[in-house]
Amino acid sequence: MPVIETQNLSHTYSPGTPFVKEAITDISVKIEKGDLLGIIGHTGSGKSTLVQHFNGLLRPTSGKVFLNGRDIWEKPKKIREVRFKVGLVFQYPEHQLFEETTYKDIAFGPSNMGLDADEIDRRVRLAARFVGLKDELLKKSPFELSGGEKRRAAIAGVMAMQPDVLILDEPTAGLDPRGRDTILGQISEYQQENGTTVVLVSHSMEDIAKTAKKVLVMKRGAVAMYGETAEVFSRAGELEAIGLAVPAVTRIFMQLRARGFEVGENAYTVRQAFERLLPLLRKGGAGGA
Amino acid sequence: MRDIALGQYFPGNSFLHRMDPRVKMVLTFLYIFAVFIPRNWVGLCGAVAFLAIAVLLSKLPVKLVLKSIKPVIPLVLITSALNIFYVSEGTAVFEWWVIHITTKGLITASFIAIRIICLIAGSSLLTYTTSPTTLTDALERLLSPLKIVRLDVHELAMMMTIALRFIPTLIEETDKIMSAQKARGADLESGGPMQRIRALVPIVVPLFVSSFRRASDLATAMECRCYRGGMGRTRMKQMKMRAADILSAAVVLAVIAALFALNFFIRPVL
Amino acid sequence: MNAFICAEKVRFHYDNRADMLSGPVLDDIDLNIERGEFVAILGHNGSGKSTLAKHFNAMLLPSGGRVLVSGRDTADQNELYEIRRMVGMVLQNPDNQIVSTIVEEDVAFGPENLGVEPSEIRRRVDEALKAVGMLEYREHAPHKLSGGQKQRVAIAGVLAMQPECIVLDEPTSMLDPQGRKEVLDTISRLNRERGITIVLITHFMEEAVLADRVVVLENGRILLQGHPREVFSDIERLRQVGLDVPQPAELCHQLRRAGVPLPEDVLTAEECVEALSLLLEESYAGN
Repeated sequence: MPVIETQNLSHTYSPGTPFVKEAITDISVKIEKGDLLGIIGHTGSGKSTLVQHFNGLLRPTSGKVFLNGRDIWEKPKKIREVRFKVGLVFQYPEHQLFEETTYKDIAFGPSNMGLDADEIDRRVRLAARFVGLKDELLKKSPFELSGGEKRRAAIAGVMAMQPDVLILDEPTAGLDPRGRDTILGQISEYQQENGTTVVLVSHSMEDIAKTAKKVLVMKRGAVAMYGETAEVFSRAGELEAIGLAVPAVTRIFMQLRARGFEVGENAYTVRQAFERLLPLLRKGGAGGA
Repeated sequence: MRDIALGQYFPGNSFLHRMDPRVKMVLTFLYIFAVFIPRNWVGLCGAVAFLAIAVLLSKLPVKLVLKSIKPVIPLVLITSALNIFYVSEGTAVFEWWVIHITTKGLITASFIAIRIICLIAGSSLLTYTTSPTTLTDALERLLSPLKIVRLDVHELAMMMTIALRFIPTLIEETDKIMSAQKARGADLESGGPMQRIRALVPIVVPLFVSSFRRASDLATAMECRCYRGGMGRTRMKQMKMRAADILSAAVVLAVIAALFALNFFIRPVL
Repeated sequence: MNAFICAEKVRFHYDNRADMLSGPVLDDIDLNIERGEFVAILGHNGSGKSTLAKHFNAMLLPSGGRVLVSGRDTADQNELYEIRRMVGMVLQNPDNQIVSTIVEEDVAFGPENLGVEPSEIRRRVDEALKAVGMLEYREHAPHKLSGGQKQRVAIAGVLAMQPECIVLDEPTSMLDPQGRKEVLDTISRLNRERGITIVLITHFMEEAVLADRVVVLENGRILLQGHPREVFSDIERLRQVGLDVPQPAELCHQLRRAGVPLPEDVLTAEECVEALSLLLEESYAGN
């Protein structure tokens, strides 16, 4: 059974006004338990709208959303419980920090769940460890942390709710390469250690290529492609047609193939490209010698 | 939340759009004053007709102007109802139990309703045809004589411009922070008054923090662009009174005079 | 003839004690930027790159050493506005640098502050909006534009002051790929067609590749500088300071280390394809 499933999900903003906008149309997707899914698409392709339906922040204009097989809007009053099971980290989450100490801020979600003090403490420390925040930082005001630390504290705040599904909307936006790699690494680790389902929304193809196991491509409010990462990147031409820039190594492979070299299927990380090209070049070198 | 129509500017190139904003502003105030002059139907119809002509001159869709009235409909209804039920002079048209509805009550109610509607529609016409920045500019220039009493009109106007610029941004930001805290299980909808106020802390604190950050960024940006207050500053958009503006002013003054005159010549119904 | 911007032994530290302890933000920076040059300043957060940029238009003054812009010392109060006119600045957050509620009025803000004649402001505003491809949006409200469009409006606002140089402080870090491309295309074109000096502060190496010269900062010092081709061939050093390397350069570097005879200065995907094709052809011929 998929952990999240949508059936014919559509959402229209400001219906009945001059500002009416259909953001997503007739989306039916299944997300399996334990997946590390990347969602890519242009700004305005509906990625953020889609994921805000997964935790019930937005209510479908039509269609249904299921969490572990149950319609999340069956009992609208219980929607908060859905939000505890599907944790959503917004874009620039550091802008939502507000408590006196980082510890208290991370504890905000778990306290809203009504957990007891010991359990909250356990979860806060665990989450802080996952994002690499040291104990002395927990005592500090969140506003005294560095940019990267703030971002990680905010992510920990959602991780501490220990949701079944963790969704991160552009978690690396605005970070430098070091901050980006740290966070992507921590997300992968978290996913592997807990087996949590993780959904990563991004417009960076490189981030998705490096991190995700499956990829969902959105285009103008609909699903354009959905499959294993390798499968999606094997259709790099289509991705470029949508206007999504594929990683440079993928482009190199496409061009080599266009020139008639048998380099195999598309690589999308430098590591893969290296591993595929090296035998070909070595073989040649040896044959020529 | 984002679809507030009141106070929104609709670019265009009509007679009203091209009017000197200072003149337009003063005339709008005069018009608001004028709708309270008539004490007879002819005068009131004249005031409405004047507004209708102005709407036509603005070339804006009539629907838009009607929409501006929507938010004040409850106010109009309440004041009308109060007048209908509480004015007991004049001939009774309907009597039942404690309710006396009189002709005088009905007339007063209609006068007030029409006046409020004219007032709102008239001032909306000003904001629809004048950009907020132009409006503050006009205000700055109209108030500039106050410099003698040491009031820094330029700074006041600059503050208004910046406020206008950032209101939509902050509304959007509030939406976003609310969603983010709701995603962390914040409960904003239930509980007693104290609980609700406490529930606002996770919204208000980030909003303040971000406003300060924005303010400091904006200050840097303004300094980078050589801002140094009102001294020696010029403006791209010059405000020049043209013949058309003088003519409009004359028309409005004539209308006001006529409305006064009508009060003398026609028996008041009010 | 002197360079357009000369930073001579620039040191900078903030005045509070915590920062004194952690050492200066900028330490002995010597850097010249020539007229018409496109310089990218790379570095991770905290390397001092934004602090350095703010010295170029006298938003910050050096604690030691000096900065000359077109021969004028930035510490000279009398030259302040002339320096800021010549060296315009675009900041990171597209939402926080637009002052006005109408695009064209915002672009007019700079020249208005400089006391330019109204008719001349009108001309400059239209011209600047045209140069960044935003003329048709001149009467729009800025908050309804996309991030890339907002940044282009900010660039137009600088252009209307008729600057000789534009310093852009991480102008694309909050934008999506589309917006990033819009901004980069705009600044490259301004550099090429109008000879406007560009100083681009960034942590994206794809952007630095477009520059004539890349300066890498680390701990307030210049670690590396030179043509992008030279700088990006020093992969180990870049990796050490936490910067990205363009994927083609990285791939060739790894293959080279595994004994494949590839050239050292491959930068773009196209160059990489050429180099690999040559080798693959040889290997096919060999078989």
